[in-house]
Amino acid sequence: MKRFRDLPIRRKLVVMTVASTTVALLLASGGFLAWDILTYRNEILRDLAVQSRIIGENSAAPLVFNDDTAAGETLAALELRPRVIMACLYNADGRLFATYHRGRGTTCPPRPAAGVEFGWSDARFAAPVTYINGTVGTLFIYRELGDVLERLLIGLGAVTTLLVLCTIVAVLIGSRLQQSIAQPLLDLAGIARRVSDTKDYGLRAVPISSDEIGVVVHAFNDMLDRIGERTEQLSRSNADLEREVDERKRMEVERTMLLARERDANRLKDEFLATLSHELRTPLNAVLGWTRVLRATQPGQEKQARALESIERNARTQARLIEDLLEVSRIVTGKLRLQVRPADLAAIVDAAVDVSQPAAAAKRIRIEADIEARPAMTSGDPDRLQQVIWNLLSNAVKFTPVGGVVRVHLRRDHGFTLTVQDTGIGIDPTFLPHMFEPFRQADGSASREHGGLGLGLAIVRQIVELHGGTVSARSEGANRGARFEVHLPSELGIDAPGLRLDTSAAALPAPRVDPHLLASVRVLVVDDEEDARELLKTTFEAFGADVTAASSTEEAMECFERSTPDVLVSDLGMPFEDGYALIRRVRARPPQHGGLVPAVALTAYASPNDRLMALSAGYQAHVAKPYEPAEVAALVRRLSRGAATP
Amino acid sequence: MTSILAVLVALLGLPVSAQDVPLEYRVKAAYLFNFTRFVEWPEDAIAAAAPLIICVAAPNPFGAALAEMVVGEQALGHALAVRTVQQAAGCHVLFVPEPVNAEPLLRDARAHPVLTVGESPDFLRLGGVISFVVEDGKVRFEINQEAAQRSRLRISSRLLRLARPPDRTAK
Repeated sequence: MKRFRDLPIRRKLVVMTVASTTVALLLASGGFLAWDILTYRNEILRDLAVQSRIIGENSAAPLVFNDDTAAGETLAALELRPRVIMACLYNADGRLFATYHRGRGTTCPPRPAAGVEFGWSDARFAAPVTYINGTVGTLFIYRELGDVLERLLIGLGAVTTLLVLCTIVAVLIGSRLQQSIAQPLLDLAGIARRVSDTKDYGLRAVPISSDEIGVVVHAFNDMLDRIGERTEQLSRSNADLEREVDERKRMEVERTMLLARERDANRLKDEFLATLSHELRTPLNAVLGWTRVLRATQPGQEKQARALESIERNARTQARLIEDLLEVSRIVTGKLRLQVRPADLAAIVDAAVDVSQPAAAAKRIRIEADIEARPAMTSGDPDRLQQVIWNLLSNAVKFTPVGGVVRVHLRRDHGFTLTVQDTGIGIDPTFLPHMFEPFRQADGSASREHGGLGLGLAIVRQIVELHGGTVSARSEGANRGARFEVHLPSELGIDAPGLRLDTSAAALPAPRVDPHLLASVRVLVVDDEEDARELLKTTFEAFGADVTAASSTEEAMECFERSTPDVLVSDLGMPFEDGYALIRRVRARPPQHGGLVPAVALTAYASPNDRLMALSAGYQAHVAKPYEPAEVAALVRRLSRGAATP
Repeated sequence: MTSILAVLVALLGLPVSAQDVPLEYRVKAAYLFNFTRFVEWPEDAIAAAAPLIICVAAPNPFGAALAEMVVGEQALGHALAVRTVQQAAGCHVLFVPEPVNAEPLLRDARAHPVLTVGESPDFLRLGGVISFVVEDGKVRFEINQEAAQRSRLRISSRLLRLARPPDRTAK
């Protein structure tokens, strides 16, 4: 049995209704019954009194005249009272005078005292019989109270029936009435449970009444509003926090990556510097060594030629290295520019193969060229494209052991596809993704087997991409060779910038020393460095020119005062007044005093920007150091003939 | 017979001083006295302050018993007095014992409101109002309603109810 207070409200209300109804009914019924029984008892008493009076009146004469028969007849009148069991009449002496019995089993008590004796089941009534003013006897009436019990039982039955009926009605009414109280509460409880289950703070209880329950419902809804707002605020600030944390994490990762990249870059730069130093020193060693040999000894004709040949070869190697470095510098600063023209890829491949043949031959490596498309016309920078192919070929030769084969294949394929395949040492798969990054070498150690700066492939990729093409590398693994594939579109979609600028030596045909090329051409050479100045003077004199040399702008201007040269060749970087100042001063002169003399800027400042600055300052051409003497000679010749501008 | 009478006397609670009177007459004396309580006389029959007079025709069989019995008693608001008489005049109750010739007495009494009580078998026929009879050893009485009415006496129904029917005594 549950305790009352744990019952559901619905039950509680019904129980309350029924309990109060029942208790009220019980009290009322009990009171009524008691009152009824009491009244009935009093009625019985009064009735007994009346009867005894009548019987007594009628018994007085028989008593006085001693007529017991008559007295018996008088008592027999009680036959009409079925509840009276016995009546006894006593004379003045207390002797039994007459009796009346209904049924058997009853005897008159001796000398009963006057009065009433009420028991549960019977009543005894004794009263004196008076005559005139004297007592002539006593009347005793014995009455059973079965009718009281009956009445009580009937009353109880009626009460019970009434109780049952009333309880049923109370249950019905209670069930109806409890809904008006319990239903809103149950609805509220239901909403509360759903809210706590689903965390949906948008739910609302519907107020039905405006009583206290209605107030509770409103308060509950208000509370939900508040909770909803708080939850929203909380989740908003949580989201903010998460975003912030994410942002911090991302920044942390970025920072870590940046640091790693920086460390990586620093390492690469250190490696590169070591490599660079080594690569630059190696040819320098040869140059200096052979120079010392030439100066210290009196070598024979043959040995001298070999020494000079070695010196030149090593110097060229060094020049090549510097060229690569500048190229990379341009790549890094994004200043690499193409000079786009119609170009025949087939011819370019031929040239590159020719250039690579000597190195290949030295290692007894066979270069097999298979050119399917001839001519393979595209638009691009032929020099750069040749550089690409030469880089790939020299790489292949470098990494292919003695007696290997390098295959070059050019075919038409939505543009052109050039494949360079070797039988070399192959590429480590972990290195493949970094193949085309600058300063990257598979073997970064100082004791590495293969030379080079690790810039070639970076230059290759940059040039190919500038042409709108792609380059990729593949390898089956170590010692299974490598395969490079370059894809170029047949027409360049880009209009390469810097096209208007005249090209350097590369645009000129390959020269041969012609002692009469610059015959009777007066050339003024300006350079602050004596070696460079003497080299220039010697070079031009070898071509038959009439050369005057000046070591500064001031000196050059003095030369102008004496006689106007046909061509001015000047260094740009000089102390005090540089090449720019020189040309401005020259161009400031009147035309008849050499103000329009053609001028060539000769400088180690080799970037397109330097070139542009030189040209805009007033030079007709710009040649980067180191220069090919024949090319410079040809340029000077052209300028001397008034063909400075194309 | 004697024992039954003795019981009766005991029941009536008669005084010990009357023991020399026979039992039957002591009962009859009591009855005489009690009759006065069930009979109403006409208003003019008894003067206001006068006693109700119970007469016994001589020879008085009650001795002093009756007189002793009525001392201090009242009937209908009057004191009671007992006299032994030769004629009915002045009497309210007149008892005629058996040996006395009732006829002249009854003739006298007829015109007056006198409750005549006798004990001879023909007393009622002679015009008497109440006559004692002894039945099964008990003293009972008969009442002549006509005589009572003639004498302007009203006899209580309760007394009438106790009376023996006259035809039974006529047998």
